[in-house]
Amino acid sequence: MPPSPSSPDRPTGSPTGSPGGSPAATGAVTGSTALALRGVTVTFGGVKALTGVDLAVAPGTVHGVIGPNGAGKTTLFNVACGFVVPDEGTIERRGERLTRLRPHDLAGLGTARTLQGLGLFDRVTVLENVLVGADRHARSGFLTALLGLPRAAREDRALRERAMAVLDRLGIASYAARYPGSLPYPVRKRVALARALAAEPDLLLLDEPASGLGADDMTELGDLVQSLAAEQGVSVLLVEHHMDLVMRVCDEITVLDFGRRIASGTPAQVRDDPAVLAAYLGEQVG
Amino acid sequence: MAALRTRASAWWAGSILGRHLLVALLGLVVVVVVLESSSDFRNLQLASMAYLGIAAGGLTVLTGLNGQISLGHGALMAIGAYTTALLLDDREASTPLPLVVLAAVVVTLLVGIAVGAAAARLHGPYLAGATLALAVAVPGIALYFKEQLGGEQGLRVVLPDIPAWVLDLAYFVTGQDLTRSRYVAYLAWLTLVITFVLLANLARSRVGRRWRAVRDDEVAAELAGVHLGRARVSAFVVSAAAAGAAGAMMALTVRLAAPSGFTLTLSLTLLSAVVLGGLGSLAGALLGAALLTFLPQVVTDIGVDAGLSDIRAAELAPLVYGVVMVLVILLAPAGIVGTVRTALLKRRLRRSAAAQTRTAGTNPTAPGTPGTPTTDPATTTSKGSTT
Repeated sequence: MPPSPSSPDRPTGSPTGSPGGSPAATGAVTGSTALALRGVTVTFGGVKALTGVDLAVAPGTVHGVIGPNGAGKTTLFNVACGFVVPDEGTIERRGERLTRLRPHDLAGLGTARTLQGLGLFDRVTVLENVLVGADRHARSGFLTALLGLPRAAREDRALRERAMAVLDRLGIASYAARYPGSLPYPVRKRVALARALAAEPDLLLLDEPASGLGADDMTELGDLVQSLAAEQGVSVLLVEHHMDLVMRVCDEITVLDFGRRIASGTPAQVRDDPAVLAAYLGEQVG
Repeated sequence: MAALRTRASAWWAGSILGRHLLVALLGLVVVVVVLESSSDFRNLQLASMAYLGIAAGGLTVLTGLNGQISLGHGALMAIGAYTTALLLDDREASTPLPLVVLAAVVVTLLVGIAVGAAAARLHGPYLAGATLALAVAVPGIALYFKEQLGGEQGLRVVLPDIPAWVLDLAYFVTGQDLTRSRYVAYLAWLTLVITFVLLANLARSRVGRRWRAVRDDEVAAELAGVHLGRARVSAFVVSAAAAGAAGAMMALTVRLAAPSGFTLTLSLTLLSAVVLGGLGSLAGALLGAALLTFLPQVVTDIGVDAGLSDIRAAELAPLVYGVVMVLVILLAPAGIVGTVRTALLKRRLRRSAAAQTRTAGTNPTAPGTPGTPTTDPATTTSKGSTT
């Protein structure tokens, strides 16, 4: 399915984003990084979950984070989302330092994240799930909602169209009126992705998006992630265990082991890095 | 004709406020018919059904849509009722009735902000405990400030004279003189209709959507940009405001605001009405209020007819209410309205599934596997129907 030409209704860019130009050009024009973590250290009690980790996601690229279980991948995500406040280190978004980042600020900053455990809203329909994701595009306030003013209805219709377009793009429009609990796991996975995409983020954090998917679904997911980055200029940070997917879609990879960055570079560089082979990939790849 | 029907259905789907107002108007017609054709005693009973319904409506939004439990809604009603009583303490009280009700709502709303801000940090049983404290403390306040709030005796509420234009209007529309009980019943039901339209607007809006998101998954809601605290406090405040309006109507109906009217039992009763009707459903809240108001009397009458003594028959009512409650929770945990709705939804899904199989059958080349994009016939049909 060809990616929908949704560039016209993409958000008009952040104040710090590149002026004008098509979304695809965003990556080429801006010099700053979409997301940068510098020297991030996190300790839980006496355990160092992350030690001085640096990571930079270039705009419009797919950046993979890999590492054995317990390497600190999810902690890294949680730092980037404001769920965990690092003991040391800084978070930058488009060259601007974020202090006191809270999770509910993310959507406004153009960041969307999927969760490992999906976290779907189970007692509302698939469409409503995606509508919550699209909510940041709505502006009407409490009074407009209370009085049911036409503006609220108009805005809601626009949100619905946006949400249906995303569902359609992911091939799950036929499930719009269903409840997530009644759907097979791969479809639910797509719903979670649709909810993140409906926010039309410029930075997308995907936490194990391929887990539990079959080979076909995984291929489709890989194509989607690549087209998001290449055609819409979305920067993607990807935590994933499936090596073939990571190697195929990522422009750059950071490898963590015991909370430290042990390697980073292109897939080819990482694949041949002896430290990585030793820590993680073992004999299988070599 | 067909074009007219599609336009009508498009309007129905598109205009949320229009739909709610239409339902409200129909509701008002029913209210007029019922109130005009029933006795003074029934009118007062219907008025108490209305104020219970208003409070239950507010509570169902809080508990059903936002997942917060409140055992303190009886206390919030008390605040609305006492505000009303203080403003209507004698016949010379010159505040117009709408302003009195508004004041009751605003005062309760302010209390709701304070309680809600504290409640937003609590969950489940802790929240229940905190609101329980409210239910216990508020009647105590009335006892402590005996001079101002009348202590155990409470405050009398003086219903202002019915404005002449209301009398004229009532006579013009119905051809009957408007009694004071009927006037109160009209006030209560008008308040109910207005409250329900506002609550329904909120429930259908993005505000309601965010409330539900917080209820279902806090982390995911937060990631989608929902400020958890703000969502919780706003739901609590809206619910408190409805309880305030309910308290004002209760004061006007009972003509008294006394601590004995706002015990913990009232809060629990409201919660049980909401659960009976179906969490999150305004129709369910109204149904629950109706059961609360009329079930005891119906049961008592049946008991008397069956040859029980008056006392025995009266004792039957709580028993039957309890049995109904247990049965609903066992057999229809989604509440009465919730269960009916689920059944209807299931039937519709089955029908549309059957229709899809038929379409797929006539076009055997189309791949029917769910998840395959674009060429799936199901995708196209549903697109047509949802846009």
